[in-house]
Amino acid sequence: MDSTEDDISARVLLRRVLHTELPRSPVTRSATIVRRSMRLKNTPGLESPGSALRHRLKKKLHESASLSPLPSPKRPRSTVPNTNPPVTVPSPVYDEDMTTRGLLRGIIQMETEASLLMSGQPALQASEPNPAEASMSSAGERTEGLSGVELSDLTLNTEPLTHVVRGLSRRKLQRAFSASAFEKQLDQLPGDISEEKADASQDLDWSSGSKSGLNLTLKTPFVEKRIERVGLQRKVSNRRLPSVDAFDEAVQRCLEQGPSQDHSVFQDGKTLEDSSWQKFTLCLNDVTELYVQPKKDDTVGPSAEMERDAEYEREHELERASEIPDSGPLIQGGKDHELESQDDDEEDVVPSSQEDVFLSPEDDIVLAPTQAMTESLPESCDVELQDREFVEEVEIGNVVEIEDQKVVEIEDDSIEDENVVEDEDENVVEDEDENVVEDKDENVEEIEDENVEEIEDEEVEEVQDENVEEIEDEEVVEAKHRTENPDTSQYLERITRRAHRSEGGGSVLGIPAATRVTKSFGAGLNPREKDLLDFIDGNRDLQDFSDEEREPLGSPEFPQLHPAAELSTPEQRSQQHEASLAEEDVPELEEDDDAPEELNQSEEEEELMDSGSASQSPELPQEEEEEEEEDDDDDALSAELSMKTPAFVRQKRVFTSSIAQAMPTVLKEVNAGPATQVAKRAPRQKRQTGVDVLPKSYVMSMFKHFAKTRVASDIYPAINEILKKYFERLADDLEAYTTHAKRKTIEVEDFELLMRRQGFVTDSTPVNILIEKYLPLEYRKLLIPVASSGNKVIPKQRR
Amino acid sequence: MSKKAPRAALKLHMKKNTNIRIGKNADLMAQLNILVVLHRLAEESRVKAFEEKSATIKVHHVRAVAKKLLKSTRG
Repeated sequence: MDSTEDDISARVLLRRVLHTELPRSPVTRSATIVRRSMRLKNTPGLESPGSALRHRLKKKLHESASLSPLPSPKRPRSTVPNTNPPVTVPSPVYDEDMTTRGLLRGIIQMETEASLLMSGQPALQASEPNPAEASMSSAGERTEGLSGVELSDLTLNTEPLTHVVRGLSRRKLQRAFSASAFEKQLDQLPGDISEEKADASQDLDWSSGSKSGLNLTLKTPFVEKRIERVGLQRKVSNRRLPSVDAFDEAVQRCLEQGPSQDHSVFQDGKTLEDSSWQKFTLCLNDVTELYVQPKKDDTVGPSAEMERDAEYEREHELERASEIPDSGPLIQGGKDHELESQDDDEEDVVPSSQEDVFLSPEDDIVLAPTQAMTESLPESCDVELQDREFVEEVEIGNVVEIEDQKVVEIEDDSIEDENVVEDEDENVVEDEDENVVEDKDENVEEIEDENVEEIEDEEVEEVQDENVEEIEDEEVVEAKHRTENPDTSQYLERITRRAHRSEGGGSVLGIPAATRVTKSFGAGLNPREKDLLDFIDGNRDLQDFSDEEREPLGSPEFPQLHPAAELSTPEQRSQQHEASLAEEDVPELEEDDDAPEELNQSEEEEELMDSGSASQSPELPQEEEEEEEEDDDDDALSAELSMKTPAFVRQKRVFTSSIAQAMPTVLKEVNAGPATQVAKRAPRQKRQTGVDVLPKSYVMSMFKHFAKTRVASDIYPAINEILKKYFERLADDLEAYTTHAKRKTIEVEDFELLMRRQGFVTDSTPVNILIEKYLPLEYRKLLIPVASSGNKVIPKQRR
Repeated sequence: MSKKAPRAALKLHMKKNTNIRIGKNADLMAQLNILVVLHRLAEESRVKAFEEKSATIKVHHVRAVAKKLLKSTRG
């Protein structure tokens, strides 16, 4: 039925072919393909154009194949699933071979064979000529003609057909199917037909007998493969990662815009820089602001409010000026901080080291913008932040002092500092910080212990807030704070300046103030730190928070902050340069008393600058100390932040925080104990919780060994996750097994059961094999009982 | 690679959630298990990486394989 149908169709097709088609090269792949497709699809006579073509090809093949002693035509025709064995057809075909049907069958069979077996050329050749001869002889001219012509026709036809067929059904199998047979045919054909036509189109199919066949066969598969490969080929996504250069440019652009945009908030390193600069400007204007706004948003500070106004003006001034020199002073500032930090090592070296590093870059950034004032202030702030204990106290004292001495000190400082500051931004900043500190000290001592304490508390809080803000790198917030707390910043600036100038005095003053502050701030600091920590997490809210804090803290705190800041800073500095601080503190105190809180920002700035420049060196160490404190505190508080943020940003934060810490120096100092503890606790806790999987080196080495190819290094976290999940599951399973065995401890046999269930261990792969395979020797010994001399078994077996 | 297997870490992992105890050398078996699993993970990832014609094993290779692997080694 199928066969008959096929035959009929084949016959029809053959006729058509004979009549219409030109002699062509022998059966090509397409014929075989057609055949295959026919076979596979069981297409009995129906014909879509493609199928018709196929049929035709088949028939041609059959004809050609019939020449050769090929398997029964039925096979190919009747959609026999196995198209492969081209020559397996039983002999009944032979009789039919004489007929057109038989010829077709033979052709088809041959075709399949040929297409399938590429290497079947000799066979083909042999077979082809034979069948051809046979067919010719037996079938007569017609067949001969057919065979020859057909062959040629076929070949000719097959070529296009092959293409067509290919399009219809690209099946490697089909094509490759009767390669051998086909090739044979081809080989024959060339002999027969090559003279006829071969050259033109047939050359493609068979340049020379076998070759043509080969070509044909080769072609199709080749094409197929190509096509298939094309399909398989998946180009890696041509993502174009943004060029690094473009990115850098964008970053720089942001940076440039940063100072003007400080309020815009970004918390990028770049923006941070800018904002930090601005902050500094603010700080410069207001010492308190400095403390208040250290990087975070500087001005959380209570004193900020009062100072804000004054500082605000200053800040603006400074900011404008600062943008340009930002880079320079910052770097210097950083160095200064480093120096200070070194000096501060005495005080709080340990944690500060990190902070210093952070600070330095931050300082650099921060310093750059404004002149020394900004730098010094932030430095002082940073330093203070680092040395919370001292700083806070000092700051508190300073704040107080600032209030009183603002005008006077600032003026004095400005005079001195202007010259120096302009040249050395770093110094200014430092000086300012020192001044602030000193001022604080002075204020603390002179003004009121009680106030100081109170202030310290408030300042501490503020400072903490400030610090937090700083840590969080909300430049925007800071900037805002700064603007808001111009007064505070101014005062802070003054204080710092004073501190710078008279480090000795400041230090002297600072210490006592610090002590006083510590008492009061102890309580304040702790909550502060918490707040700070909270701040760290809630950067966004800093602004609001700081503002809020500032406002309430504002007036009352302002004075407090100042002294506190002063205290803190002076304390820090005192450690380094007691004498200088003392000296400065004294005049600062005096000045503070006289100077109204609100001074022109410019004045303050100047003073700060001057003072900063004047006593840069002494201030530096102080600032460093402060910074260290700040760093320590910052580190503790911003441990997370630092971890999350790049060093650059961190440094900025630290810087700003240090500035702010000028205020909160007292806080720091107060919380020296708690602060340090917090600082130490935070990182440690984090570390423990974070790492709980196998060591990276071990895992990666194992993975690489197993993988045998290169392994990306960033794969470790992913593997970690996977292992974690796996471990959990593993533990649960083992526990279940153990419980099932009514035991309380997981034993080796539980593991064996697990591995068996997992499929790692089967009857053929005992566990011991695995053990030997994977575990190092010493472990193996433990697991596998080994018999040693003396009738001993290791490990000891409990039988 | 015959490296030292971190027995302590393994033990920690295994005892994380449960109070159950670990036998004497059971953590070695755990080590073995982990190794086998890691081995399989590496193999599968390598195959996957080959699929994408990349000589290096990248993270997404591993991730794609992990889920299937975790499911299979369930026991």
